[in-house]
Amino acid sequence: MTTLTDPPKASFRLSQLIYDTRYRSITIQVIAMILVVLGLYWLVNNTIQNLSALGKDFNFGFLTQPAGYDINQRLIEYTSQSTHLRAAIVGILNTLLIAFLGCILATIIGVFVGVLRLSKNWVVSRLMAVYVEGFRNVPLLLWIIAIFAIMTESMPQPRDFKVGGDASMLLGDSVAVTNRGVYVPGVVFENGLLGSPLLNWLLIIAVLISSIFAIRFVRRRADAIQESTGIRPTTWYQQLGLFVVPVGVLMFLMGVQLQIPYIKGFNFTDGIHLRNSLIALWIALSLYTGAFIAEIVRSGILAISKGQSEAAAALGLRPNRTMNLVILPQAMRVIIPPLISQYLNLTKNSSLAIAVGYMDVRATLGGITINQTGRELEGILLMAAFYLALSLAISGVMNVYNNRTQLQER
Amino acid sequence: MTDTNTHGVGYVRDKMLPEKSPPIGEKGAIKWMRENLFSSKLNIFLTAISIYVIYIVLASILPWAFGGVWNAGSLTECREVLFSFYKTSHDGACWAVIEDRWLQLLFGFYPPEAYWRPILAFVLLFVALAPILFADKVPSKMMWFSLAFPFLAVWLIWGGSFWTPIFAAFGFVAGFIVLKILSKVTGPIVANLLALAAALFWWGAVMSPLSDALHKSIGAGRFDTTLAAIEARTAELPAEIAALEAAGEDKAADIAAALEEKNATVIEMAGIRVGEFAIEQQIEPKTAAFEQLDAAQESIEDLSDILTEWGRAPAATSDSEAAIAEAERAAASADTLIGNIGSLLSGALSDLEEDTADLTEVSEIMVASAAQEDASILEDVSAMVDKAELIDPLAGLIERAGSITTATTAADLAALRADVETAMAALSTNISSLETIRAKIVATNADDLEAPQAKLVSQMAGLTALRNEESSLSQEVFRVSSEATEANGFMSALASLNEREASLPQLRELTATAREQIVCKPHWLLRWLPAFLEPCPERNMINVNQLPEDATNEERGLLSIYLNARNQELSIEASVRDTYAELGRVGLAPIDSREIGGFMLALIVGVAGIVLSLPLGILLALGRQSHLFFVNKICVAFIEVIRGVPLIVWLITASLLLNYFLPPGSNFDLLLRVIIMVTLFAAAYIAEVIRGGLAALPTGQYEGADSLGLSYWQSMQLIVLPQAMKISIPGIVNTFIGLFKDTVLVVFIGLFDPIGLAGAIRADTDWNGIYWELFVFIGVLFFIFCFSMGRYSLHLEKKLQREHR
Repeated sequence: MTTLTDPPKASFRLSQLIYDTRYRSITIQVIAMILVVLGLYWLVNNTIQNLSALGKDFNFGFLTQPAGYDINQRLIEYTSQSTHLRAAIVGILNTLLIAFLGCILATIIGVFVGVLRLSKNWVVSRLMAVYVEGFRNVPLLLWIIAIFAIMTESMPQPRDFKVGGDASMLLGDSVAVTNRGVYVPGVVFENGLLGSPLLNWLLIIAVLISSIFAIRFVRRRADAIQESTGIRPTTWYQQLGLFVVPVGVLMFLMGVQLQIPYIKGFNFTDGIHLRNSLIALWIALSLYTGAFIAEIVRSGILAISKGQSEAAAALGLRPNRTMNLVILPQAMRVIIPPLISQYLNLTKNSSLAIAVGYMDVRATLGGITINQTGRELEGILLMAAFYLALSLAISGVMNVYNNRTQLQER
Repeated sequence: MTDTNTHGVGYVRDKMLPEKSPPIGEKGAIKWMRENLFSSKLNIFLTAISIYVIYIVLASILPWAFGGVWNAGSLTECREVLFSFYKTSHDGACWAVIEDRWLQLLFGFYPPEAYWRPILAFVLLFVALAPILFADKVPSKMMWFSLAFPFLAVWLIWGGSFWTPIFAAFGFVAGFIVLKILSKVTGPIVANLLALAAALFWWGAVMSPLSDALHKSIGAGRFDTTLAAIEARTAELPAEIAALEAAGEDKAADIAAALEEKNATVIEMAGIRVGEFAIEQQIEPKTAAFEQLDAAQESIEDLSDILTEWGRAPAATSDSEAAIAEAERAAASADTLIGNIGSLLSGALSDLEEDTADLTEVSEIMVASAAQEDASILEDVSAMVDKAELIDPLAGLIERAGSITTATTAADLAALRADVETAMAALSTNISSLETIRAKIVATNADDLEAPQAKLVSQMAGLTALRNEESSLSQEVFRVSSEATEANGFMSALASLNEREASLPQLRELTATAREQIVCKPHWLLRWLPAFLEPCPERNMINVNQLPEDATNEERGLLSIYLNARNQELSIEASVRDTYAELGRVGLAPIDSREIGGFMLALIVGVAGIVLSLPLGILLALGRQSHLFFVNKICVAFIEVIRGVPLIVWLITASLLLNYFLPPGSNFDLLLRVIIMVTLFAAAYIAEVIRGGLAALPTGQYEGADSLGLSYWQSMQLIVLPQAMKISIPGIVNTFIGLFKDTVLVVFIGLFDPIGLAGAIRADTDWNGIYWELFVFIGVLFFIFCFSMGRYSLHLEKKLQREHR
């Protein structure tokens, strides 16, 4: 006969908090939490004491006061009478502008160099290797300053473009590279359909996007026909027409004209003036990040095993279709995540604008505003919050992409 | 048997043919080039483009870099030397700035007599790295040196008594001992916490009193001998300074003499080249005049185009606004063009008339100068057209241009244009013959110039040597005179030491009484506490304006009395401590962080960041992979916040905000703050890299470690981390390279890193306007370090991969 006895009652002893793995993790977390809370309390308490000792308080009221300084590059209306908040927004927009321009150019350079570095042509691949190593191993700040020095020291003065001067404009007399910046043609709407140029631009972009959707529809229909009959209808002229005609008609209606810069007195007027600070920062950031992107692209292409392209060849696919249908879709999965983190780096590196006097958010909110109002704590907190929000947003997008393209293994 | 075969077949080869060499296109360099460079049309195109790019870059860089000047005292002197070799500063680099300032670029403002200390630390760095970098070739006992190195390096660079680094290291030892003893008695958690507490207690409460006590006891014993020695030293210092200054003056005189000689050479060369200059002065205004005439000619053409287009003076063809506007625009540009033509022509005239010397003067100069050696030059000059012949037609042209209106006929304009072109042709022949003459003179002068050029180069070298001697002398003067100032200050500090020490108890008493008298208004929640526990926030204040708004004047006065008393006490205490530290120091002279700069600063920040961020990064990565919810979230938040914000913002935080976060009144070294920030920044990146390594490890490894019964830390240490680290090596090294490059950002918070020093050098009048030489030097230094780090990581990757296979 067996007697059933109750399992020993689990009586809780204090020592279990330390020795029993079931409870130990809680103990550790509680201790960690206490330490962190104590540490934070210590920091906050110190800050309060220090602020009160300096006779300061913590508030963001300064944002509504007039800024009192000028910003030389502004995408929205701004005068020195505008508020510090508006100055900060102007700076944020400038940061986003340089980040946007930089990402585009860096991608172009990176893809180009990355592909060429894999070329069988010895001279080309060496040349690209020299570019990549040269830019990756020298501080970005040095490149920014050097390119700025090239722009300001070695470019001709605007007056050299006058009749009898020894400099000439590029691209059919429409672009002037001077030591005060680059002058490119601007676009004006003679009879815009909407009130402001911005809205007109948005209209054009909207039309472009709808054209793209129409093109996709045409392609899908072509696919369907190919699926059912085996013959693909010729659609390239439809696609081209869909892309060009609506925008062309709209631009004609709005009277879009190029406004070519011309020299007047000792400087250029009309057109768009891209300052040296913008150009130097843009080129340096793009070349620097481009070197990193080139390596990413190279490793992405190398990551696709040779069997893939051989199998595609065995199926009878031509080389360009092999690239489009087999290699690139797989390589993109490897390329995109580090590529986006490079975009993030570029955005953060744009804060080096301080070296050339480009008015980004660090220069307005984190620079002049702080110096004028003495609100270091608030200003730096806001600036850090902006950068943090930006990078969290970008990495959120990256996570969505990663989840969508992840290979489903096991 | 073989015969049957021979009957049936006409010929059978019975021995192998000798191997033929492959066709010329299929072997050696040609084959390689065909396959690698010219295999397709695209490839040929790419090769051509690349070779062109390489040629352009090298053609602009190599002559500049190798045609540079190494010996000169300023940019002006550089240009002088370059000019004597027919170069401009675009054709030759002024490397003299590097020769002059390389020590500053490397060490910042570190005292030159102590350069051996950072150099020794740098060499020892490699000794300490050896067991880590080349673990298989170096005895593992060397690891102990690697562990001791950080303390040794800090002591070497910053100086101080020799026991300070030992005491600092003992904090770790104390923590370790407590951990070892307690982990057997209590559990690991308690042991770890207590070990941490023990180490913190040692660093916070024991270390500096102990060090002060040592300083004091040694200092007290040395007091009399030191005082005597310093008195003797101060007595002999003025004589030493005077001797050095005299030597310096002698050197200055030598330099002045050498400068005189150099200037004589420069003048001699100018004398030789005077003919050339005279011709150049002819060419320059004439070229300018030619360009103006050319522009005038173009303007006439434009004008005639406009007039032809309209058929007459532009006038509106209809009443419409657009037509009127267009006509007005055309009329305006026609008017501008007419004005331009006149002004351009008179500009050309004035160029020729006023800025060009008479030919007779030129030929006089020729006769007097070295150019007379070649008789043909004189002939050429005398054969040249007189100035008047060029000027006269212009006067007529200007008159005609003045009468141009919009009504002028096309034929008239064409005639005018043709005449302008004739004038241009005359001018152009003139210029080209001048240029021939100039080339001849340059050729004649070449022989004569060789000797002075060589002389100038050697004189510059001698001058540089003299200047170096002088600057080392003046450094010596500076060192000795600052030693004298310090000795005087120290002597007076020693004289008042006993007095200050004696006054301390009284000051303490005063502070205590003042503290008692402060009016306490504790928070109402805490009023029930017994009197001896009664908290008094007022007693912890550091500034009177921390008192609430409604405080009475009396309260403010009492608080300010207390604060003054306390500040005085603290400052006297600190000064006594400093004097004893100086008196009782056994070790190296202390050096202030502000004096550290240049590439050394980049190395210090970089190496410290790398060494400190790796352990922190590993802990963060483990925390982020941990299943403990709270620990995990803390680590995630920390990593994301640090990574989401640019380093430059963190550096500004370090320079502006860190003082807010620390206890009131505490203030520590900016360099230390920067190192802390850089470490935290790099640690977040390292954590992400190592997390990748941890995630890449198969789950089986974790499970296997668990099934062996290893504890968490054992399994991490023995199983997981070694493999994860191996996977993460490339990423870690990349982070280190990034960190090292980012050290230049400290320039924005006022530290003198290489780029900041480049700015400082450029601010010197001697080197104002110099860019590329400094950039190239700094860039090459960084490139060497970062590139070799990258290569080492590749090497390590390959080595570990082989073992793995």
